[in-house]
Amino acid sequence: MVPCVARLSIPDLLAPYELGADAVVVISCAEDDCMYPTAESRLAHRIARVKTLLDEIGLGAERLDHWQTHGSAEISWTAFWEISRRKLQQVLAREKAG
Amino acid sequence: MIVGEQKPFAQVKSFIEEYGKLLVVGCGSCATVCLAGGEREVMTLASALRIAFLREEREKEILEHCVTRQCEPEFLEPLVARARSEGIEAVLSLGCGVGVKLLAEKLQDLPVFPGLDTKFFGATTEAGVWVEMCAGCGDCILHLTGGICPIARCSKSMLNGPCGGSKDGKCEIGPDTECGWALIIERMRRLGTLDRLDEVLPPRDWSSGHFGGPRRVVREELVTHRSDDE
Repeated sequence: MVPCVARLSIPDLLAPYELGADAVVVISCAEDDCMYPTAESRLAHRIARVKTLLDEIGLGAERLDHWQTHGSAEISWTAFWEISRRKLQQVLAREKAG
Repeated sequence: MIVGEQKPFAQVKSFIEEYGKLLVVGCGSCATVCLAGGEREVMTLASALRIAFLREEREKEILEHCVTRQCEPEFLEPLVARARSEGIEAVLSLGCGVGVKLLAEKLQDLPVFPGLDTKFFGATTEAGVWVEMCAGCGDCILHLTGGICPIARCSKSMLNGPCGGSKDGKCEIGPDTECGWALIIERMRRLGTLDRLDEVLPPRDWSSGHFGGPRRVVREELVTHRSDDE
């Protein structure tokens, strides 16, 4: 259980892929909404590092998405998830086609 | 600290392709401080390697370990015991070159691979930036140069700079590199000791550095003569 995405470490972000996940979606709070001043940029650095690693591994950076809540969480989270899901479907289809 | 940087992932992976059971070993000292080979980096690299091999449907067991200091034999004993008891086939060290060398010596018949490129003796100047401060030349002259080393900070290791390639405090090799001698002169001016640079010094003996061959320091009062004990 991660109480806040600012607590996500690089190994945390990689762990789902080891367990067989095709992709990971991180949804954080709205921009400039975090009470800890450097938390957002630190998360952004970790996400960038994991994307680089995913490219190096051969999985591809597009298998990790990061969204920031915009407006209502109930609405925006569903929308983000749908965009990421469709993107992943395209990635998997492209891979299957070789 | 000794500053290192992780080797490219593909190169590290190529080292271990043929081994089934691997131990990734971090170092809790310099490699941790420069964020290249501490516990967190071991977890990250081991995880990335597992994912890469999983993706290729190749069965590998990649285990993790971190010692306080890879450059001290005492700290390596539990690691050596673990490697023996768990049937480790190869070790990937995220320590500096010293750690890799000592691990290889202690593990004898096990291959040990470097996961880092060891860069230099340096300091953190800002988050994520490390700068070379000492060249380990074996003959420290910082008392003559305001505490700033011309051997390490001058691109030519000159003892009578700045040279003609110094411009606006920067070195000719690139705009990101400060001129070591400009730093020295500015510092000595502030200390009021600039006149000390007028002193004529004898030619430097470079044999105290690496050019003199592999070096060692022996303090007789601390040496345990094994032959006497046996």
